[in-house]
Amino acid sequence: MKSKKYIVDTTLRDGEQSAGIAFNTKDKVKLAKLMDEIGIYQIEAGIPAIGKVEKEAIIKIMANRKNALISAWNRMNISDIQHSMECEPDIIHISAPVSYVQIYSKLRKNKQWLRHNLLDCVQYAIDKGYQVTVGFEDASRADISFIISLGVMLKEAGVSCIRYADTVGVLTPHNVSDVTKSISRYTDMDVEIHVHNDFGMAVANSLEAAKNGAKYIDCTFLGIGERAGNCDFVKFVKSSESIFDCGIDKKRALEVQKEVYHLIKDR
Amino acid sequence: MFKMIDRTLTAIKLEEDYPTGSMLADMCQLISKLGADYIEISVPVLKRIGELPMGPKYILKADTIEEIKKYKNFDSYVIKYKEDVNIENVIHEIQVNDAREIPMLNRYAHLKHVRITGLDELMCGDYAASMKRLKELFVGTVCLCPQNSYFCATALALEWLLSGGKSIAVSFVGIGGYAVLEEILMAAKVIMHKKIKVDLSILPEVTKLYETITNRRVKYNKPILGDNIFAVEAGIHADGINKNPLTYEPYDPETVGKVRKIVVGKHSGTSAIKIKLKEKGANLPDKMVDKILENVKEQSVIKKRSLTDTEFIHIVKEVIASEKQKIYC
Repeated sequence: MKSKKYIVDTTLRDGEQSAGIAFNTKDKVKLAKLMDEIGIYQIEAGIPAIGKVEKEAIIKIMANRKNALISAWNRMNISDIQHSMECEPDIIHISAPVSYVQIYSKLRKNKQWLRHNLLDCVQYAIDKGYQVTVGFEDASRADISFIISLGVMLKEAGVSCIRYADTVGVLTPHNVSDVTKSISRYTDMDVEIHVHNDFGMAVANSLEAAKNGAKYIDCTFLGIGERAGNCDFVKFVKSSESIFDCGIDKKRALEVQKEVYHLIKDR
Repeated sequence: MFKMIDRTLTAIKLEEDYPTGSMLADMCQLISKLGADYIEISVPVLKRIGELPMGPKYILKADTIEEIKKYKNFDSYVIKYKEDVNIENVIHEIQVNDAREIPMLNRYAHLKHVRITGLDELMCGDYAASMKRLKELFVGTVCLCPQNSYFCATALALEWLLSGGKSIAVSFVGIGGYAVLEEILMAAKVIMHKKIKVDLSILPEVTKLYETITNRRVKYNKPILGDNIFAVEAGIHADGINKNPLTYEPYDPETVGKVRKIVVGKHSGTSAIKIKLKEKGANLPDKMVDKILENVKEQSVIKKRSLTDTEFIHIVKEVIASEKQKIYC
């Protein structure tokens, strides 16, 4: 029997985030409805902190959805989370930059600050009754021991799933296999893999993560996303179908892909 | 270091795309400049080019033993495995579509030079064990040419090299369904930390020639080559890159002959607006920046894309005019 894997579609968040693409409310609601119908486990619907239009779209997506879980993406701050709460999503996803370059150059903070701030944000959302997932941004350039220590802390705080993000696409299959196994072994948490395609290895890295224990796979239709994009939904489902059951209606997935293509073709 | 054989020239469809001989000759030289150790050509390509440019080393892909005998001046040849071919400098190409066929390759173990082509689905199984088995089976050199119907060819070629493989066969843009030359080169440089001595800033020139030859545009987000891969819109990304480009770029765009650009749209934040204003030589108070950002987001959603520089400047002018009006009212 094939092992069960779950697709987290981030076309409406990381996909849309790629330079040149902007969906309006009608597009986002339509795409989310189609995604919901083909068996996608979770739809990352957007970033509420962007503003009124984005929130309006996520609220409508929540109202229409029948099967999929709807998540909203947040930077690691209370204000972003409050914006998300206005949309009442199923999952609040908090992104925590974990590499040295992200913590020290971008945030201009340190690891201790990150640890405290992340815990405060997670606690805030959990106390309001939300399911929380945490994304480790730029995890592939971070120390695995730091990631594991954060994972242990988050598990104690009530988080059960962490997203390992290969933010600049530098993972290789053998690396992703090692880190996926280590995180599962030492934190006992569910792993969600989120890769970018900078060196053309997004599908291979997602497959390898899934083979080594990642339960959730982040994809976007047509592989749209920052720079060279993310793991292509249809390509992943096709290449993994001999070993995994992702619960996706493949024929209809091609129709969703066409719809996305139609919306972005003029970009 | 490893040996890289480039199959681009033999993957171009001569009868459909009608490239001229000089275009193909230029492609040979450019790919050689990118660092391919051997350029694989076929007899039809050779006939189209006429005299091969000096410099690159060539491998002739022969369909028959007669072709090998007729075109005697090549360093080496590649031919689909035939029992009766027993020539020193021939690479025997063996198509293997399923990892379960690998143990059965022992009947070829005596061959001095082998190219294993196929193995598209290797990533679905224990690829490391399969690669180890391949290396153990053959006494001679094994060149791996993974195919891409499972979208894993580049990853497999790279893993082959990382696990000690000495030779791979690739193509530019992955034409023909192979591992991608430019992805391997950049992965070797950035991920494997190999010293790549060649100048990869010629990649846009190679891309342009490729597009002319094949009459196909390289996708806007194609790894390494795409027009849009160093465009940044998202607020946190623009802010991060402004502080330190390494935050959101795996390598310096100039390495591959590109420049980064900040564009504004639905996902922009105040940092991106400030960076863009600075680019245009303007420095406005925060209140006006907020107003500009609000208008940029609104217009981007209406237009369903990022804004052009002209559209951005138009918004800035409108906001400045409106603020002035408030002062004089």
